[in-house]
Amino acid sequence: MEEVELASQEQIINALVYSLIFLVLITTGLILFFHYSRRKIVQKELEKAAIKLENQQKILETSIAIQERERKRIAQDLHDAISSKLNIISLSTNVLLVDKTINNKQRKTLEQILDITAGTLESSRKIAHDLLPPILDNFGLKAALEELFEEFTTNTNINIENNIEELSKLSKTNQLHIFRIIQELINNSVRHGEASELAIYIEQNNTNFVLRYQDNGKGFNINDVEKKQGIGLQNIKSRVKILNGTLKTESTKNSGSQFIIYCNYEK
Amino acid sequence: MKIIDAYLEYIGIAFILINACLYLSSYIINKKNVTLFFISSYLSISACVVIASSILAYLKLNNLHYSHIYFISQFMFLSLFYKTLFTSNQKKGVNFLIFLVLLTLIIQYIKKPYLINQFNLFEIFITSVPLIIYSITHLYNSLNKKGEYMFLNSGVLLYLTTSTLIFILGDYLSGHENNTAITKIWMINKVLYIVYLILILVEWKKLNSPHKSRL
Repeated sequence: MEEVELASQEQIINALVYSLIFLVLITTGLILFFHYSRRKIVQKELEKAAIKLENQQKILETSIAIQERERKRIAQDLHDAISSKLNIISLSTNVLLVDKTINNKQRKTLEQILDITAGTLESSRKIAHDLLPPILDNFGLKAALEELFEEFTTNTNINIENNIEELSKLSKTNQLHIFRIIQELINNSVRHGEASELAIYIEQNNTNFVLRYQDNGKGFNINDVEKKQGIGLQNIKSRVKILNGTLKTESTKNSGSQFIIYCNYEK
Repeated sequence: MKIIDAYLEYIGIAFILINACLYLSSYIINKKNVTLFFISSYLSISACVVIASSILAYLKLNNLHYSHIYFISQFMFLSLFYKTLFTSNQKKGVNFLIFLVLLTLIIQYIKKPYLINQFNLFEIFITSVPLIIYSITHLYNSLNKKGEYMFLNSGVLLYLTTSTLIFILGDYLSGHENNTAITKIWMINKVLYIVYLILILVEWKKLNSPHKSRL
């Protein structure tokens, strides 16, 4: 009788041991299943986020390219369609003015036409120039930037210290990007930062170039700007991305801001 | 066999003391962390109960009434711990379960007060099953975000499922203490308890390491 009881006890305990092992395996399996599913899901989410970012970047790059193309086209059209016609008007008016038979009233009107035409010509030249500085195409980045600095120093109270090296290895399109970045940065410093002193340096060696930009303006909180970037800063970032460069921003409230752009030529 | 069993018990006590001290110190450093408060309370009370019941067992006295403190405090603190990690709807579920379990236990003890001096199977069952549910819920919650307390959670799931089975059969097992196979089962329980405590220790290390990026 006792033997039978012992045997059944043994059976129960054996069953218990196996069920324990079974439970350990099941729970371990469950934990591993969740762990690997999670890894997979996180991986997928990361990929999705990366694709989204890439798409956004592509859209920005395309829009910048389109913007530049349109600017070029409008500048060209202004030059070809309007400026040339205005030149003809001004030449014809001059021909009429030479005529001695016209009376004083007519002469005055003609002179007025000449004045207005000259003014409009000047405006259209200025607009075309703002849209696409011809000096950049003809004389390179250094000359274009120096002209830009001069424009700012004569029109505002700003003082610009600069040392620009000619980036001859950079393509014309990329030079235009650098030009636009600096233009935007100066605009920001003057408009938002109320800066009075700027220092801009471009240095290069065989493999890379560095653009350093510093102002003494109001500065900003980098974290705030990161959260709600204006179109200006967004454009700068996209252009840096197109150049395959890195942008480092340093700024604190009331102590100016500094931007450093570093690009490799090989990329 | 008896010697190994005793060593396993000492190792378990050492680990729970270390864990309780580490989590308490973490909580003292970072007082705003409610989650840490619940874990450290749970570990401290468990450490006290484990030590007290070991002493009683050494003196050959009945220590079964300590099991009630152990299971109820484990249920309360781990429920509150999971509650801090859950979404608002799941929090309501935790509140409901805490209320339900405590109410049931109170009714049971009023009706059968002699259960205090026994292993209460029903108590073990209803205090452990909700924790296993929380643990799986937490695993599910962490599927698409950064997992918090994953090691501790795995430990809870692994240890509670197996130990619940052992404790439920504990009544039967404690009746046949001379059988060596039964000693083996208690040893398995102790080994699993040590694994659980090691996982809690690894969790503490993870919490305090500077690289907090975890997949």
